[in-house]
Amino acid sequence: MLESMALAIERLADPQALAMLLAGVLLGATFGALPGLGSIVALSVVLPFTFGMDPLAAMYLYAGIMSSVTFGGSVPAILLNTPGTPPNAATCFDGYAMAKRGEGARAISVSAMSCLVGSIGGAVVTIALLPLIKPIVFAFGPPEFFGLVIFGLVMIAFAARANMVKGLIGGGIGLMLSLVGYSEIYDTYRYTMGSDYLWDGIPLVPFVVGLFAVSELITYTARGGATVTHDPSETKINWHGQILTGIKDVLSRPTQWMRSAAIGAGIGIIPGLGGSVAAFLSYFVGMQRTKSPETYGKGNVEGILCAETANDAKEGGALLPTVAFGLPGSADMAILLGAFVLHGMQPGPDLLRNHMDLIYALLFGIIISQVITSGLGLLAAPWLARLSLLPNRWIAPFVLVLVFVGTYMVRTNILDVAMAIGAGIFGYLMRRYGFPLITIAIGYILGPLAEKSWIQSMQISDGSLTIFVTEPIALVLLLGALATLVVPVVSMVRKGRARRAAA
Amino acid sequence: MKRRIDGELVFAAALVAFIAAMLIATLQFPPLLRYTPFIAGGLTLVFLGVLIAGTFHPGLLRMTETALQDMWGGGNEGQKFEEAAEAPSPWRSVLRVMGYAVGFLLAVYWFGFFLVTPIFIAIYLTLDAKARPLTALAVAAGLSVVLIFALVNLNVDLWVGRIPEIVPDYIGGAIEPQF
Repeated sequence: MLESMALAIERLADPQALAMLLAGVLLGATFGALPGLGSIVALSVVLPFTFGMDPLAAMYLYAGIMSSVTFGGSVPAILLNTPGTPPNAATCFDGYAMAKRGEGARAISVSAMSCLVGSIGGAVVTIALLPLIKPIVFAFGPPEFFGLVIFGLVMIAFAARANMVKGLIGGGIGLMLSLVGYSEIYDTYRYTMGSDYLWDGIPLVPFVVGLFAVSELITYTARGGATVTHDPSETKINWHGQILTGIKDVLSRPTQWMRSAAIGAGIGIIPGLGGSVAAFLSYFVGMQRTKSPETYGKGNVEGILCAETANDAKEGGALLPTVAFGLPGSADMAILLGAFVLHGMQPGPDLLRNHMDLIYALLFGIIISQVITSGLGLLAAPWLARLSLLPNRWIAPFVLVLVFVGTYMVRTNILDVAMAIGAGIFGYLMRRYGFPLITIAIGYILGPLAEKSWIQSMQISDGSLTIFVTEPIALVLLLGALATLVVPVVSMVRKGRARRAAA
Repeated sequence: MKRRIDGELVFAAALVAFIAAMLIATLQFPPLLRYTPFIAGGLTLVFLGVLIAGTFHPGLLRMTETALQDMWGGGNEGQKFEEAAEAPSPWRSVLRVMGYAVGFLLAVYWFGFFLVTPIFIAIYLTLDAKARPLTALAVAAGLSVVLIFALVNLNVDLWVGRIPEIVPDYIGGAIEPQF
């Protein structure tokens, strides 16, 4: 473990690594500051460009993006009451109130510092838990992995901000799409409809880029106009001198940021919950614990601190199930998982056994890039905020060209671009009718693992389903999945009884 | 009974047809390869059935709208924000954007990246972003130069288009990939 950590630290000293981190930070902060884009679009647009790149350099690029997006998103949330990404919504409550009373710079400073302590907290939790989780991962066989995939799919469908049925449908569709192509088990092709292009299945990069980036592009471009409707003159702020105050605000509240970092990292580990839940839960816990809850929402620095710290700590926590089990807990982690696969690494035991240095590189990269983000962020905030004033229709053609070129260059196949556009239109329809895209992506990524572990389990047990009962971990996971499906029904029945009792 | 034939219902029906077609195709596979599609596809069809039934009996879906964060409390503001952010745009605007994307794809397919990219950006910025034609042209030319420079340095052979070769290595003469 120490050897891998040392290797990761040594590689971080390489100028190329720092250049990649810096590039990731600039990209992430820019995409975060543009409402509607965020980390998912940033990662999916960048994903194809990293093909052929040294895996470690690519990891630094991703680390830079992941750690800077949330800070980028907090800038328009504070200055313009427009969250750059959904998890930054909680920051609007107090950040915008502070900006309105002329303390915008202090609020940005608090956000920058909170992101820094949050990132470090999340990474520390992950580094501390990685050695503990390793023996658990190695104890997993096919039935356990099958149980885990089913549990993960159900949990994500349950936690996705939409109707659970739609989440499960999305997971099912993703899983079915993952089965397209050649099957090594029986040397046969499935669902290719005679197409040579589909022999290798639906290609990962065009599918993921289309599903997220193109559908997002359609959504925001169709909405039109400028993303920010406020008069920019409202945001005139004199922020010299407030930066130091903001730094002191955070450093003088260690209990709050440690608690928020713990909440964020904990939420990150649970698949499917994501940054919005982490930020809001931390915000409400902070409000319950403070002596002056009435000041929350009216420009209390603790409100920004709680939300932004948890939001950033979540990234470190979310890495744990992604790298250890290959179970992405959020859409951006699903894209990161795709990046691992693109670079020839299979998350799970193989990654933990052979590429620990890459995992540590990613974690240390997150910490270093957060230091860069927070430092640069304080200087660049006014310019980042101005990006939010750009009309969507000015941004659209450039993102579309990036998507086209990016998806094309992975395999230099023009049909991949058509696949990205097709996936984008399909993704837009799914999004429009309330199907969470995250479950489609996760079903698509986990589908082959589900099938492989199912078939291996059946081969081990000579076709008997009892293997899922006799293996305790598999049984617990499958019962957990079942319980997750039953909980809403029980909750509904209880509420009904309570209503009847009250009447 | 509330009867509602809307876009969501039509889309759900289309998904039913899609999954059903995949399930029918599954019958041709060897037995061991049928399990996963049958289980995943079958369950997806069941959930789609519940969803369609829920459009007529909304109470049926209410119990599935609970999420973990609702039970913990305090997640409503986030949900409200996300719902507001996802408010659908008129179909006309959506189809216009989709039209641009598909049009760009077809143009690139026939004429290649080098020729189409600057023209597409300039047209889009002029017509949709209401930029001045000269500004649009300047931005399009600037971006194209940066893009081509970057890709040449990355040794990427950009698609030059299916039309007969006009300018070698830049416009026309691409070999069609197998579909």
